[in-house]
Amino acid sequence: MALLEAHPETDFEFHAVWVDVLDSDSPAAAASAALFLDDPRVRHFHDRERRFGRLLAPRVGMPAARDLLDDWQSSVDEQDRVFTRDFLTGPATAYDWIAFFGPDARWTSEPELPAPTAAVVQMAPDTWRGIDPARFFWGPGMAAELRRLADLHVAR
Amino acid sequence: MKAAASLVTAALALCACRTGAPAPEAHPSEPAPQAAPAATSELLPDASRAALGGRVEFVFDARATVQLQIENRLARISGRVELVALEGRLLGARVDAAIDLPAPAPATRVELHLRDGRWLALDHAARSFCVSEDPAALAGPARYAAALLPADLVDPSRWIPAGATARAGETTEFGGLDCASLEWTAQAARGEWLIGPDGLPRLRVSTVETPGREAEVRRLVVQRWERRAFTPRAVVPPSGWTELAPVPRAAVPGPRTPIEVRSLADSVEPLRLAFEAGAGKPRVIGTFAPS
Repeated sequence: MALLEAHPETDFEFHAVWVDVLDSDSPAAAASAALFLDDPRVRHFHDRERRFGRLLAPRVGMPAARDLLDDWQSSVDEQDRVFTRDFLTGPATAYDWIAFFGPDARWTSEPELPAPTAAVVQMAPDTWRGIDPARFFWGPGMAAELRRLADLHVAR
Repeated sequence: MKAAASLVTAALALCACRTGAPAPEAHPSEPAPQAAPAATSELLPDASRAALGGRVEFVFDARATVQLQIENRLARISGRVELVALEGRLLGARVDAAIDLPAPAPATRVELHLRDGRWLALDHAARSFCVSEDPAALAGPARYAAALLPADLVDPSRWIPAGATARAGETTEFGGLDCASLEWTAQAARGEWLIGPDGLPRLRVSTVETPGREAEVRRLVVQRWERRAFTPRAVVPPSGWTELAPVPRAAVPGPRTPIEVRSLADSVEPLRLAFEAGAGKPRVIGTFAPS
């Protein structure tokens, strides 16, 4: 990914958390997806129960899907062809976010996840109302933003 | 290649590897289009029993998720996907080739070709090919032994330029293993093909016309690829490739070592401890849907 490629020699850590939100997500899918971030600085985790996704959501302002169904003019029954039912009906769960934490950030107990110094999301702005619009990036724009943030927060 | 292998001789199929370039108009974070009740459970992981009829459309989104619409029924298949359709009917769907490695076939010979650091493996017997910068990937999860290779699939000189590039947004790349396979019944199919910068073809749109039926298969293509027409011909390595002596498939390096993925099913503690262990360094946490 752009972030790792932009700083191939930089000593930082990347934690890839594969969060089950889509109906097809699974441990096998996570193992397969991990192959696409094959870098010694990357550690992979599979978040089947969306535990970390729920911890991160309030830190980045991720809304709950259940609160957006009206916006989508849709229903749980309809959306569960795409998302897991628990994701649709449960608390806000962050996915497709990339969050940066400084060297001094500490995470001393499970609920005390520190606030990231920067975070961006690869989602459709029109769909996920409530997220800071400045955090949405996509495609080449996301790659450029990640490189910019990496220069600010990763390169030392 | 268990289910597909018995079907491919008369079928059109293709595999969709994970994309590298997203198609914004079909984002996984967007709500699904409204549709009639889905047949997902019938299609996964093996839909050969589903035998659904009618027009089949594949719509690829940013994560190579496939939305499969069959007679207004919408299903979604994610990950590595191989679909087999015959006479407009979806016969098989297989997800995540990584869990279904083709069995080694020592008697089969694979030709290896090397150009600019990229390896091409041609398996004439299986009519398959695979391209990778990593020779280990040639025998890895992304290798599809039962793929049928169109007769002139790897000879760009036989392809006729036929127009401009694909539309913006219709972009993808074959996934992290950079490997592709196509299954194709040449005499029954008419398609629109594109040649990639690696000299290999990609199927964009193909149709198989049979009485009363039409199966249309769409796949996304890299924008800069050149569109060419397809004409049958014998299998010939792409010009410019340095041909090496054919080698047994067993001599091709094995698949990559799986990457450890730690479960957070019980607690986020493994992640927290890893985060804390990295104190003093910048840390980045990315959250992604795995499929």
